[in-house]
Amino acid sequence: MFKELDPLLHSQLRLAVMSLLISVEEAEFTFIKEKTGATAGNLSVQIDKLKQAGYITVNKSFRDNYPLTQCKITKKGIKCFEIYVENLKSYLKPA
Amino acid sequence: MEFNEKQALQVIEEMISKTKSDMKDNSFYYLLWGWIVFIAAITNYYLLAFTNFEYHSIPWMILIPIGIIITIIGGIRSKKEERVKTYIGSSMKYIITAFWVSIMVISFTMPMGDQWKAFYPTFMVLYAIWLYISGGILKFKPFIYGAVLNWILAGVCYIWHDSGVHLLFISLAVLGGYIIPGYMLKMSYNRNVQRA
Repeated sequence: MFKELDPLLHSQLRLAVMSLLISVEEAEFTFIKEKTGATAGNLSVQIDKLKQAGYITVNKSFRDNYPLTQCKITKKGIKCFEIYVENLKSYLKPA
Repeated sequence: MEFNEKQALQVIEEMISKTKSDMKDNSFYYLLWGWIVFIAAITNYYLLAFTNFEYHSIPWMILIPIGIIITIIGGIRSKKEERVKTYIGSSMKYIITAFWVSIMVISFTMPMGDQWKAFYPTFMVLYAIWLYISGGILKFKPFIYGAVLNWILAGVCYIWHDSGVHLLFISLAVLGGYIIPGYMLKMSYNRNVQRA
């Protein structure tokens, strides 16, 4: 039986962001932008949605007078990502 | 356009492999310190064995501070350039700190306590620990072989007390543990970059 997929994660860019953050401790916005190939505007919107859901934390600061945005996955984010992957398996198993 | 389950799996795989391929070129510090210790030890050996020069250990006093300055500048610069913090990177920092503190303790206290017989072999034991751990974490076998070489040479030096032999052995230890594996690491990094 197919299990419901978390709609917040079942989106190409948000899932890409979460997949990047699950394998690292912390990543800068520019790193995520480069790896996902997304536009800064779109990425900001999706990161904000993940932050609102409590899946990631976003830390804004400055480095050498330039704004610096660092993203980190939360425990809730890890748990939801694991559940998403687990549920995804039910779709991919041969019938 | 609908985002289906197969595409979701592809996204996950692609992103995880992208963080894996983003490994930094770590060879610089292995090569820097490998060459510094190698040149200092060989020059020290030459001055000791073939000249009457009183201050035969002077190469260390010149080269080590240069190495420390380059390492500090490089460390500050790479911290500024660091855009992603990995779990491996964070654990390596603890190991590097432990290694450096141990090196500093030995460098300052052993000569003060006149412990010259054990001086170089103790360095080799520390090199071996560092090489073994970093070889394991980076999954890079040449460092593991380098560690074994350093353990063997250290063992021989603890038994065979001869300053000249110790200097030749430490240069051999860094050649096999740092310089050769350092160039191999650089080559494998360049190959990965070309492939990516």
